[in-house]
This record gives sequence, structure tokens and C-alpha cells, in this order.
Amino acid sequence: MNPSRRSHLRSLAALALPWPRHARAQAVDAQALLAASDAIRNPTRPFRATVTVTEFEKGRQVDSTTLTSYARTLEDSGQFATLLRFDEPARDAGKLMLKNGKDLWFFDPGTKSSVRISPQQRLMGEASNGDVVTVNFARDYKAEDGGEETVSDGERKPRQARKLLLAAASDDATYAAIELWIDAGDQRPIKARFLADSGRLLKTAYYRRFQPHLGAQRPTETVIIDGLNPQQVTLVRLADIAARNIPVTWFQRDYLPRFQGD
Amino acid sequence: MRSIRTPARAGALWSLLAALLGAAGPAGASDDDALALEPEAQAPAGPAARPALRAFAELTAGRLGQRYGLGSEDVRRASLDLVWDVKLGPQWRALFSDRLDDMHPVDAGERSTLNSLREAFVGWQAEDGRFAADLGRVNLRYGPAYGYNPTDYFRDGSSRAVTTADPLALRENRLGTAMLRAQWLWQGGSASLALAPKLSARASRESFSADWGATNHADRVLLAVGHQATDRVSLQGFAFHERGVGAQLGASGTALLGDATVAFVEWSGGRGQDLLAASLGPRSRVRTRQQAVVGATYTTSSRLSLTAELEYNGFALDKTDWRAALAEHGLQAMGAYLYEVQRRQDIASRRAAMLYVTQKDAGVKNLDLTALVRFNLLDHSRFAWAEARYHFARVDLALQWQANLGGALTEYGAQPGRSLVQILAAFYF
Repeated sequence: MNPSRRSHLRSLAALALPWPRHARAQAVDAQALLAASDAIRNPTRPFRATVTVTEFEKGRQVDSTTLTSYARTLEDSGQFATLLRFDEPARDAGKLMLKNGKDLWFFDPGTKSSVRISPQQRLMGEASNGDVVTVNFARDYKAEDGGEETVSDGERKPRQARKLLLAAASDDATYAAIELWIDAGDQRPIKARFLADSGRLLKTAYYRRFQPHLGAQRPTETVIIDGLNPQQVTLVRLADIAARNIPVTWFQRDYLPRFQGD
Repeated sequence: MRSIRTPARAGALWSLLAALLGAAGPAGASDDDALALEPEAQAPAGPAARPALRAFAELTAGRLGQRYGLGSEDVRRASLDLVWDVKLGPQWRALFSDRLDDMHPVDAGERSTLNSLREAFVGWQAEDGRFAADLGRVNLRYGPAYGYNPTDYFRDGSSRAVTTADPLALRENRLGTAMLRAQWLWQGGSASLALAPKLSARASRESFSADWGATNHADRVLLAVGHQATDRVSLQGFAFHERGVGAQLGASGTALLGDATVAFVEWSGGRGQDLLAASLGPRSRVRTRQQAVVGATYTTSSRLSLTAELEYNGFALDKTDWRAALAEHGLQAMGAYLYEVQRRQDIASRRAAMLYVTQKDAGVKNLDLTALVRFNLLDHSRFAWAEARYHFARVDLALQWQANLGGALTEYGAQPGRSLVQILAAFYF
């Protein structure tokens, strides 16, 4: 058989391959890119960080909340669990929020009560609880490649990006779908659009201000723009990111009254 | 595998509109505006140290309308609330929590100034987070329900000063119980053993008494086991014993139903004191009864939360008992009964219900509206309370209203206080 004919046959064989195999190979690649992007957004070691959530309406600052976050992955789920302590404003100082998948608790040291809250119950104005906790997308979403395109990044500069189309793949997923743009070269997250079941845009997020923390250049600021009302903007800024030995036993309701943190 | 869903028609129209407005692809004008925003104050360099001292002061002034020809009178209160939570070392902690309330006017024989030493304990925990112990006055509180907690076994006598009708805020000046408490923790669960000895037989009304008799009037022991069944369901089980009264078993659970509803259930059954007998005299009557609460909280995307719960207390009077007791002992004795119920943080009728509604950012940023109604399901009397609270940076201003509603011989209709309107200012330091 001459080389040319062999090549034709290979092409025909490739065409004859069932479509799902091709799709599967592509999905694995997109999933790996998503995992690589997660590894840039989130340290792999347990860590603490200061989180400042600033809310704007029509360009005017209307609220600000400072929290200390303690996060780590749990072995059984592979997902991050996050414990947040409110530091500012003073009336909320010492209050805690625990998020471990759909397991959400709010603890008030004044009343000593631990109250289970639903994902819809927001504790900080327009910012959803999911906006301020650490989440690995690769664990809760299935990614498909959406091709390369140029997007404007958080610094308002054009960037060559790969678009990933994320579909909810677990009950813990907050959104039905996410469109995520990551840097075509180094997989840094650039921008995400979070979509409801209906396809409606819920919010747009820009990841920016990359700084070296715990062994990688990581985004330290997320700008979140409300999908329905773009005049509502939330800035989530991370600072003082440091590795911490955080026992897994901290991430449960019964530990909350004991929690002190740094 | 779930694929990205095909948008519904409305969703597609929305996406099209969003695309036209430039929300997709390159940043649109509104995105550019958002990306140019900067916070007014820059975050301080270095991690913020957790403040060891938290404090706030509250001032209230209002007008109380009364029944029985007592007219109306001005009421006022000043409170200072302190919590000092200090880390003594990597594994050691000391906590001191105190509240001072000065209320005017007060009933004859009562003190206008009451200090509540809520907590004073030393705690230790293992580095791996698997064991912890506390010694001292600890505010150990259980129960997921809002208005009534049968599994909150150390609740009786724990409120020296009743400063609010809000069941959540009322717990802010609750006294802890002197105890030795050990807790074992593992991933997704814990077990806790609390030993609370009798320290004094009588509660004190002295202004600055630590009031050990209010919280440690009997030898008591509580074993509590918590289990996270799934990330949507959590359970707790209890075994409680009080010397001279007997044992109770209890259980509680919470479940997340969908993304907006949390359901809760609480039950306790066993030996306890009959409330009417306890209020009438020193001779108590111990009975075996059940107490239970079931309820749910639903939250909308606009931050409206609605909680409804049904409450049952087997130690309280039913409709027939209430009428019989009123005929036999008179209205004044029923006042003593209601006081005893309040002291024990119980409910006065066999069956009751509560609605609790909060709206955060109610039309105006930082304005919270809260309202509750308690229903006596047997005599149909009601207690209603509502608050509008605005949050400034370090000050809260609130307007509160409450009323006891019902017939003359009902639980709430018989209360001397008919209605109260007051303003409140809270200052956070």
C-alpha cells in the first residue's frame, strides 16, 4: 500500500470513529485546562486570607465588609471548605460563616446560635456567599472547549484567551453554566460569565491584580458585575494570603462556638 | 454528564440583549466603568489582628401602654455589652462576657440595674482539632428552632434581664452555666459531655450577683452527639439528666430543601417539672412529657426570609387546664405561671406557633425590617413585634413596636403591658 493511500484510509477511519470519542478527548483536554486554572486561583495547601468585599451602586461605594477566610480541601469531597470570620463592620465582628458544599452555617457569638442557611440566603448585601469562598470549578463543572478568542481583561487590555464552557456536573454547583476565559498561554483566569438555568446572565467576573502567593501568581481581586443591573458592582479583594495548618474538624457546625482564628 | 443547557426563549432574548449591550466578549462600557472602581479606603498592610475586645452600648426610650387602668408610662433602658475573648497560647483561650442593663421603671422589689455575667471560662484544644475542653461558666446552647428550643437543656433561669421580645436577640444576655465540658471532634461529627454541678439552690435578684443559683440550681449532665449525615442534612442527639427530676432524651435535625428552604425539627421527651405546679409553690410535680418544634425558613432572592414554626410543650397547660387553673387559682396565679414560663424560656400553652420575617436592605440599603408574631393556638391570643433598623457605620438606629393581643383571660390578653413603642440606638466600639 503506498503512503498516500494509507493516509486516505486513516482519514476515512478517523471519520468513521464514533463522534463521542472525539468529544470525550476534547472534554478531557478542557477539563485539564480548567483544573490548571483552578490551581492558579486557589492554593493547594490550606490557607488563610483577608477578604475585603466592597459594594458599589451607580459608581458610589455603599458598603464594605472585611473577613478573614480559612480554607482547605477536604479529602472526601475534593472541594474546598471555607470558614469566614467577619472582622468589619464592628456590629458583625466575630460572626462566622461556614461553607462546605451545600452545608452552610451562620454563627453569631452574641446569641451562640448556629443557624443553617440556604444558598439563596445572602449575608453580605449583593455579594453571594459563593463569591467570597474558595471553589474549585473542576470538581463541580464539566468543561468543553469553546475555542480561542480575544477578550478584554480586568485591566481593560485585549488578551488572547481560550474559552471554556462549563456545565454543572454536581449538586454542589452554584450555577447552571459558566463561560470562563483563561489565558491561552498560562491558563490564568481572565473573565467568567455565570449563567442561570434559563441562560440568563447572573453576573460577570473579572480576575485581576495577579501577585505571587504560595508558589504561584494568583489573582488577588475579582470584580463582579451584576447581570441584571450592571450598576451593581462588587470588588472582592484578597490580601495576606498565608499557609495555615487548619484541621478538618474545624469545618462543621459543632466547632463554630470554639473558633478563634488568628 | 450535563451539557450546557439550551437557553429558553426568554433566556435567549436576554443573552441577545446582553450581547448587543456588549456584556459578552470584549468588555462593554458598563464593564469598563466597573473595572475603574476603587474602594474609598485601602486595606491596611499586614493581616488585621482579631480584636480581643468587642463592645457595644444600647439606649432605648419608649412609651408603654398598659391594661387594668394602669395608664401609660415612659420606659427607658441603657445597656453595656462586653466580650473579651483572648488567646492565651496556641491551644489556650479565655473568654469573659458580661452585660449590664439599667431599666426604668421596674416592678416593685425588682432591681433596675442588673449585671449578667454571661460567660467566664478557660478553654483548651488539641493541635489536631480532635479534642477540646472548657471549664467555667459556658453558654452552651443547642436547638435549630427560632422561638422555642426543647433541646436547649440549660435554658431555664438563664435570662436575668428581658430586654427585647426578639427571640434571637433575647439570647444575647443569656447566662451560661458553670460546667466542665469535654468535646471530641471528627470529620463530620462530634460528641460533647457537659457536667454542671449544683452551686446554689436559689436565684439572686441582687444587681451584681453572678447568680449561680439561676443556672446551677441542680446537678445536671448532658451528652450531645452531632452527625453530618450529608451536606444537606445534619442531626443531633441528646441524653440529659437532672438530679431530683430525671432524664430526658432529645434529637434535632436540619435539612436543606432545594436552594432556598431550610427545614428544622426538634424533640425532647422524658421527665420534667409540670409548669403550673412549679409556678404555684415549692412542691414540684415531675411528669413524663414531650416537647417538640417543627418549622422551616424560606428565603427569596430579594433577601426576604420567612420562618414559620409549630411548637408543642407537654409540660404546659392545655385549654381545659388553663380554664380550670384560672377558676381555681385566679388571674394573679396565672401571672405567676406566665412568669415561670418566661423564666424557663418555655411556651405557656400546649400548642403554639410563630412567624418570623426579615427583609434585609428593605428598599433602602442598610435598612432591615423584622417582624414576628407568636400565636397561642389554644386561646388564639397573639404577641406581635416589629422593628425597622438602619445601620450606619458604627451606629444602629431602630424603631420598635410590640403588642399583646387577645381576650381578657388569654395568655397574651391578660398581660399588663398592652403595647410598647420605643426607639433604640446601638453604638459599636
